[in-house]
Amino acid sequence: MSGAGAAGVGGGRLHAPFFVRGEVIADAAVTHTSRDLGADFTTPALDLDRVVQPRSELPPLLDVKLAEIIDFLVEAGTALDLDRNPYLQECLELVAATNPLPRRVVENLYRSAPRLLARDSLEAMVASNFPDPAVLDGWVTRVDKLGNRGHVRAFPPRMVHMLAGNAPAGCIASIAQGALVKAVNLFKMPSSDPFTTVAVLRTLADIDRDHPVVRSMAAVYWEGGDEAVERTIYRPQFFDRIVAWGGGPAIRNVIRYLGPGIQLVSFDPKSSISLIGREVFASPEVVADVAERVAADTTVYNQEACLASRFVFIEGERDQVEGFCAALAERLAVDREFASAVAPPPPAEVRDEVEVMAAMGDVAVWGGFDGRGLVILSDEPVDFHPSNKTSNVVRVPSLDDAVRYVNVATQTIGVYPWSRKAALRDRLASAGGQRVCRVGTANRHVPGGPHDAMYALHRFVHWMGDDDIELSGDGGV
Amino acid sequence: MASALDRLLGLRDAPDRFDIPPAELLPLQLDAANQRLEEQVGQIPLLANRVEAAGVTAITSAADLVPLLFAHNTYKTYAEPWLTGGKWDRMARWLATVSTYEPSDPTGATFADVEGLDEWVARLEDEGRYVSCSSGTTGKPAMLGATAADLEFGAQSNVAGFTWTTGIEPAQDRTFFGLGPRTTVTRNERIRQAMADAFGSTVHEPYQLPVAPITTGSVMAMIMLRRRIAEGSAAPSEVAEFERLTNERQASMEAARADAIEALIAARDQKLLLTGFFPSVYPLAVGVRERGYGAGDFRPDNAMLTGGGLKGAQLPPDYREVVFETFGLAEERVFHLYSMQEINTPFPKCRARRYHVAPWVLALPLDPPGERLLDAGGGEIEARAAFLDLSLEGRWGGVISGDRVRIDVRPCACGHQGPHIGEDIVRFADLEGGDKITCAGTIDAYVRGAA
Repeated sequence: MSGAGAAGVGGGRLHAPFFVRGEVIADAAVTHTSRDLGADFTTPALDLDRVVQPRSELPPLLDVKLAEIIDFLVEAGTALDLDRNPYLQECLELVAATNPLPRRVVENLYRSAPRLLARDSLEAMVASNFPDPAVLDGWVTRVDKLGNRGHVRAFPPRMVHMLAGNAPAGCIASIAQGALVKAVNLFKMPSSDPFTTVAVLRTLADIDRDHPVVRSMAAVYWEGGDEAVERTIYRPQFFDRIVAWGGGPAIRNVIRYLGPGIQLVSFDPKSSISLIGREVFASPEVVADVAERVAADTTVYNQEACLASRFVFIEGERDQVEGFCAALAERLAVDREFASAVAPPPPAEVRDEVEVMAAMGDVAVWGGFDGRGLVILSDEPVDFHPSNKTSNVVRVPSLDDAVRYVNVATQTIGVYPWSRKAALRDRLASAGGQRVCRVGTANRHVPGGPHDAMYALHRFVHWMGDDDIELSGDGGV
Repeated sequence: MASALDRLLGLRDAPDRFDIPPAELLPLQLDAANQRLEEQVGQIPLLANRVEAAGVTAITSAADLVPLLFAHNTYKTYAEPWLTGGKWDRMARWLATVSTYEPSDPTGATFADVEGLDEWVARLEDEGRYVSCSSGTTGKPAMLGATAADLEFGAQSNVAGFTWTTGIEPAQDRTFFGLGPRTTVTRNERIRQAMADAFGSTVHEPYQLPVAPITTGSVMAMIMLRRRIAEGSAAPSEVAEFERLTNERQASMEAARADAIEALIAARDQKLLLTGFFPSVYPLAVGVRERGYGAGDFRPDNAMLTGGGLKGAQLPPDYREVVFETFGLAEERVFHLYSMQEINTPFPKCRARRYHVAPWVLALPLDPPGERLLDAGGGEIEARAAFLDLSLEGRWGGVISGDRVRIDVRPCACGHQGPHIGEDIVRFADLEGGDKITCAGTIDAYVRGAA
């Protein structure tokens, strides 16, 4: 342990402290078990009175200018440099015990996530969500044709952020979002990473413990679905918004508590796909390039991410497509910034299913079940959810035929050649898809874009109106 | 001299079959396992794959069996579009890949004109292959093929298990009450028939809860609709029709319960054999009490066959006492079994409330991922349950279950021999709890109502 209040490995146990508005709470009162790897960790007892700020108190960030908040976040981004940040360094070891992602990938996430706190990224986020960002700093007035004035403010919300378990460092984006809308924030950490959020917040507190951003943030852990906690605090008297990054049983639990005054802003569980036109077979070089790009999209976080491609719909002759599959399998086996050459192997059920289909001659298989990557060529998409670096390649007569496999759960659709995106994107949107991109760039974003078909910050805030309507004879009273 | 397999299967009705120490049984079991493997490796392509991949030529220890075990979802590995798209020839070829079934035409072409799952199942039965289709409505049903001999063995081992547990001999003197919803699965029907033949009264007609049997075809209809809802191709009127049927089924269940309560009260002077899971039987006990009958009104020597846990049903903590007291039951006259559809043998619960594994079944306690055999010799251990049921000839009896069990191979407190399994059986899938949150997921999360 590196000092009082630190996260750490004490007596063989992992310890996850809480962070409440600048204060680190470090006692180890309760033992939990992480859901993915079954590691035990201890946390302080959860004092609900301390983590819920009453509505009688104005939000600490209310009168802090957006520009100042951005300055603070940019400074935090610099301080989150892994090489100089002891909290993150320590976290890296702890997360390895609770999270299925390899340590090296978590390290790369820690190294790349602070880029979200770059000034241009933060400013783009604000500008795309709010046509006039002045609504965040004060009351903005507009006048109708009769001369009545309407004043509006994007008032800070009270928010619970249910952080996703599959993306350590995702908390950095949530902290930025919460700060930009000046919210009063409670971060509910996942059992597969009950450490990183507190490490990031401690970094912020080291810059200025009394900064209103710091005083707006609390990060704690309880077991998702714990009724004693959730029934108590998921009430409109305490919170306006519950932001959920992902799906699964945790969301089904939350839905029970929604009602007038408390809304769910959900980044729903998603799958992603690739659409490859016959142009890929123009030359062996193009096949190699596109196979590499599909592999890059498929392997993001060892395919734990929603934007990771799982199905490839491809035009072409059988032998051509087989050649593509072989090239893809080879590229899946490569070490990458956010993927391991050898990932955890696919579940045994998948192995059985593929084995049976292969024995029947219904699918052809490249790669293997050893975690290096698996490519399955079939006439119809497989029934299971491809994971652990598995790509299901499906031949289609035309990319138009692939549109029927797109639905509201389809997030990112990588397309080759890029020129065909435009002809497809309206129908993909109508089917429920949320984003098209050039294949090979699924994990890259133009700053300020929508996420899961919405501008989230715009939905977070409490839009407060103040109307000045002149009735005849008011005389301006 | 009889083969090891014949000797083990010959123990089916032996009164002392649960009194043989596991160490004494093991050589016989390994011999029999080799016999089954030799027979089936040429008949089940998937098993041949496994043997090849594992490089196993002969089974010399229980650990040799582990790489040859099938995951329980092996029996769901067909592609759902074959089922929903009526590709019955392909389904037949699939069945031939995972079991000993051999279609008369290897391409499955004789099934090309089949209309619907019920007919496919009926056609297979004409060829002596009995497919039981699990009735789960939330996902793909498992399809398990068996031979007539498998069905007979399974049914008779239930009869024998009942007698072993309760001491009640087959005297055809009990009015048989089927209190759970009935299925049209032949395997379940054979067990029911065998029980009714052995213990059922020759005077009083057996009673069956009067709800329309759940046919495999109706299960299919639900699965197909679910798929269409997910694809977005189901019209609102179809979803409305589905909701209406669900409500209707619920209403008919209530009417059936009222009927069963009347029938039970009317038969209260007869010696009864009740069958059903506790979540089905408990509301009947409550209904009988509400009608003013109960303790003392029924004969004190009634018996019951039940199994499984509560399957997610919420019952009050004293549900067993309420059922027992109402119907004149007692722990020693209840045959409570543990089994699973992938194997053929019920494991009866003893007086010490432990389920006993039959001698023709090898219990193979595995680590949670199901990869490594654990040693249960030193006392009770927690494990993923896996078994090799040597009684199965229609498919490979080696299967890894989804159940977490506590298993012990030492002699049981009841005085009989192990291996024996504790009551607290949970599905690994249920242990996941409500904590999971991830941004990656499928359209399945978006389908409401049909789940």
